[in-house]
Amino acid sequence: MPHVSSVSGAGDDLGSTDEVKVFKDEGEDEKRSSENLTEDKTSLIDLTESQEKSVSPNYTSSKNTSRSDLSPVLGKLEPTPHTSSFNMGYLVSPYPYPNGTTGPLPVSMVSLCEKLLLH
Amino acid sequence: MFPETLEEGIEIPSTQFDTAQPTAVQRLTEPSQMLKHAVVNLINYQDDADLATRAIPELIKLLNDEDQVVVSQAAMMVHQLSKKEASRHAIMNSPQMVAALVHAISNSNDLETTKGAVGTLHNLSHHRQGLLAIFKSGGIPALVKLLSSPVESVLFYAITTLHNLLLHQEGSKMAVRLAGGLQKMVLLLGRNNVKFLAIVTDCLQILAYGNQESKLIILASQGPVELVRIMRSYDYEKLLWCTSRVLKVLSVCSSNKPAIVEAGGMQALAMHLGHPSQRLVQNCLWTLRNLSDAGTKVDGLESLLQSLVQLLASQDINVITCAAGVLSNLTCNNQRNKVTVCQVGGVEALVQTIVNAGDREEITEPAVCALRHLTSRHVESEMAQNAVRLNYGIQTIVNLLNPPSRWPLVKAVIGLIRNLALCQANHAPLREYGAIHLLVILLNRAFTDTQRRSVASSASAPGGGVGSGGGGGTYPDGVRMEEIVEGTVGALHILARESNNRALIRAQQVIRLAVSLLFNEIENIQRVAAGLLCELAQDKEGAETIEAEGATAPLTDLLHSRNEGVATYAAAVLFRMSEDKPHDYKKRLSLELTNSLFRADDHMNWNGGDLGMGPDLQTLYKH
Repeated sequence: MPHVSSVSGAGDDLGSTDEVKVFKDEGEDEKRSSENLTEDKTSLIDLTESQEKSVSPNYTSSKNTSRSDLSPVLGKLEPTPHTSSFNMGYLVSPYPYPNGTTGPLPVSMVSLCEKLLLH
Repeated sequence: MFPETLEEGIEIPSTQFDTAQPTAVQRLTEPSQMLKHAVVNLINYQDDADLATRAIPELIKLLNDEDQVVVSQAAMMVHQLSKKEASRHAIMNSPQMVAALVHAISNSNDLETTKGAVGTLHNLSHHRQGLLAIFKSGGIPALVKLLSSPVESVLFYAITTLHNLLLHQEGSKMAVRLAGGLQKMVLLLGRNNVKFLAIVTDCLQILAYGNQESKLIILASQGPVELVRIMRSYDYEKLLWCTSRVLKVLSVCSSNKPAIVEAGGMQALAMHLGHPSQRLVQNCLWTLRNLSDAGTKVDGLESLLQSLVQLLASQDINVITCAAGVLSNLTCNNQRNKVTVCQVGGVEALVQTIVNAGDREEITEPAVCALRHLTSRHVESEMAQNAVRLNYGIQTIVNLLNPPSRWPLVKAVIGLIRNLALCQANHAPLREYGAIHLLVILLNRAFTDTQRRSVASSASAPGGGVGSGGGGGTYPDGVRMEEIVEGTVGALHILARESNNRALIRAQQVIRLAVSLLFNEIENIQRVAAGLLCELAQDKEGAETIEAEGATAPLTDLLHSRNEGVATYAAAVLFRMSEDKPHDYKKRLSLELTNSLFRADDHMNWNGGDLGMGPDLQTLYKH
């Protein structure tokens, strides 16, 4: 609520006196509004990391975000099926699955998948 | 179902006999592929988690190695690991690893080490657990230190991580303040990457909101000047919006306020009032309204005033409320601004705003205050007084004296009516729309309230007895009833210049109350009461009633008032009351009046000036 800070008698006139009010509206502490900067933060970091890639190719490759890019860091070779059509690298986030459940799989299905992956 | 698993050249004969009916295998194709992907992800995830878990103890050792090259390599490896969710979780679940990263940031001068470590902290900062781990490991002072880095990538990682901490990690604000983050952030306002600046300003807003000490630190670091410069220099909406939010928070601080005004903040904020972004416009307006009481003496606000008048036509209630509030303050005792607002159609716009606002007092109150300022004490005030009538505002304005208007609005309306009454052409419409009747009701109510408070005050403080000036301490909505008494009597005084109005005022039994107000200890109330009686005494009936109410004694006393206005009005009433008296009486009175009024002639120098009196007083005085 604003309040009158001063009554200024600007002359012994017949009219009424002018008054200022002091407003102190700091707004609400809205965290939500700050979230709108997510894009800006991502953009800044993308800029940083793309510059890094262009100057130090040691830990990256031209195939950008596939899993095999990161394998040398771990000192381990990737199984070959993890490229091309199997490329589900989850650098951003693999979850949630868009069309299915994340619950445990039936044993029979697991063994089936193991077989598939061996090919 | 899985054609990619077949060797090239091999064909499997189709079992489909009916082309309209897919086979069971065909129907299973899509879910099978999805299932395969899911399983691959699970396996990869587990691989990453296992690998990271195995690698972390070794990497911690390497991060603490004496050889800076080793540390650098380790930091880069950890950074790469942190880019994948599974290994990121493993890192943030290891307090030793987070501590080692913070240690590396704090103690290494190697750029690659710093980049790797802060890049990792940045990745961890997307998770609550990561934020907590950074906070607990003393990461905030280390990150604040990096705000001095000349390397842009380090700076970007540091500020985004700090922003995430400030948004989501309890205790971060205080830690950033204690680490000197505010000063460093203000220094960063000199950079020119708009997205970076938006994040810095948002950090400042989060830190300064509701925290006076932070506001003073920002002020001491020259924050207001930098923030105003940003408002003037950039057109990136998010940056302008974030900066206006910092300025809004600072503008409620009595130390920052004049600094922002001094830096040209009002003009800079005014530049964006026509922006298509409503949130930006609104924040600029809130800030301007907070600043406006400190900006009444600022020059060069013509463009702002014009924008504000235009914004009164907005459909957004908040915009109109703020625009009216700023206009009200900027026209307070500023003749130049008053003239400007009148010249750009401010009176018409304000009248229309009041008419449209109905009983929304958040709009009507500042709008009426602005009109009150525009209708007195400047060269175009008479035009403004006429314009209110010509724009059909008088009826609506008079109606605002009725419930449910609260006292601040009522007080403002009384003041406006008092000014409108200075224009002769307004006398009849004001009377016809019931202004006199409503003013008298308000006068009686306020006077009764002052009497009640005076009695209550005397009863609660025996011997105190200095009553009617303000006993009680609390006032309805911040308005003292003495102000209402003075305002209503002052308005009736001006309205009583017209004979039909005088007859109506007499009929409302106001004279007895006005006579009793001659005893009031507030000089301004004595003055308006004497002024009203002076006007009413023009008519024989009025003079007789005044005398019958016992006014002679107090008026005679008031001849000796130190307030020239009071003394002059008192003399004039006594003189008019003596019109039908015998010659001897008039002669004695004349002698008394001469002695009283000219007792201080030596220092009053009244031939050379107007004694600060209104024109009616000067006329009375000279006669």
